[in-house]
Amino acid sequence: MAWRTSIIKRRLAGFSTAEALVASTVLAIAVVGIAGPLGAASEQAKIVNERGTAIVLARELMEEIASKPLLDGGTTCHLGPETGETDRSKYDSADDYNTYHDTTASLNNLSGQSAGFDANSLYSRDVKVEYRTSPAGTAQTSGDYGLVTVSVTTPHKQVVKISRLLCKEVLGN
Amino acid sequence: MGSCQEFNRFGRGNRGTGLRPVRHARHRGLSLVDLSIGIVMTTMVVGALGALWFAMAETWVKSGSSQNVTITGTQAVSRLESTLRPAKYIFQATSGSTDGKTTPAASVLFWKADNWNNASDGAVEIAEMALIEHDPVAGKLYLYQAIPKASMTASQITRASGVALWNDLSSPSTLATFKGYDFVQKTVLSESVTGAQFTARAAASGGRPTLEYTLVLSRAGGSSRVYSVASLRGPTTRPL
Repeated sequence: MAWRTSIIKRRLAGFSTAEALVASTVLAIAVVGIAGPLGAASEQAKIVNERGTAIVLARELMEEIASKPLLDGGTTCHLGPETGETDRSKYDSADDYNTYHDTTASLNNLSGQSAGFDANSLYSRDVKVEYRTSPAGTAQTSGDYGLVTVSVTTPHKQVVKISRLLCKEVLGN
Repeated sequence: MGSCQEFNRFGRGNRGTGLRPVRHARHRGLSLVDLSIGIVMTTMVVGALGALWFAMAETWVKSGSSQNVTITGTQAVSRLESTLRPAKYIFQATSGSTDGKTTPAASVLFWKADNWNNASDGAVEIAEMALIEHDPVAGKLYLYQAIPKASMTASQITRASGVALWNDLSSPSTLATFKGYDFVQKTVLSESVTGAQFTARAAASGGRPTLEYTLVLSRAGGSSRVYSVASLRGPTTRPL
């Protein structure tokens, strides 16, 4: 009589609290397992987004540099700004931009006004200019060509680099 | 005896034996405590899952909006660059503002090419002009330019061949006149532009003239700021 009663009781009993807790824990682990990759995908989307912004910033600076002649007065090789060229609005040749550095926190337009970027996402830009005596040559102390490299570092420390080879032409009107 | 069976059916009694009758066990449901614990646990699990999925959905929506705005900004930069690079001269530019509240809004009137009738004659025919203008209400950048000559009527060709002089080209009223021509077509250069600021810069010695611009792009859930420069690759001297 006793064993029969025990079997029927077990068959009719619901889940115990311990069983429910174990089931919840398994469910939680499964959810975290699913949410992990989703979170990583979201983070990756943010990184891609930042790279897009970095490319625009790099193109801006490269376009600005390329709108100027390579050399001061069309002839003088001098890397970096000359006396009196205290900010980039005063730069008059592409080689003045060598070692130029700025960040979006303090980025001004050429009128000296803030470009108004979000201070919470910091991009930094660096420029390197090298003289070349031929387009495929190595870096020289002077030359008729200049290899300009603009590097932009994103908030996630990704680096976007674009380069352009300029030549000693006198541009424009 | 009969009264004892009735008593047991409601789950009371028999404590002395340690067992309940089979008939009683078959009818037993969840107790209030069991039910309460079950409800609390289910609520916690559903609540946690709901919060997680809500947060995920929010993040995805924001991420999608942010990406859309960034892509739109990149497209705007590419289109402005490709439109302005072949241009010959910037006649006038109106600054506008990044909040889109300044009147008049940002605009730039320029000489897009010296090629009317397949001839480089040094004169600015009306068909060679183009205007980029920001419309803060529509949130768009528009490009106004003449339709192709093959699509013009004889009357339109005659009027499009008219030469504009510097007095007209530098006059602010020319913008409305130019937009009013029936052979000038308006196309969208970029959408979602809520603010635009243009600054035209003359060429430094031996350099190229540039248009410096800042665009603010907004879509539901995200906004972005684009600051860039477009230079004229084949500029010429100021027309007469």
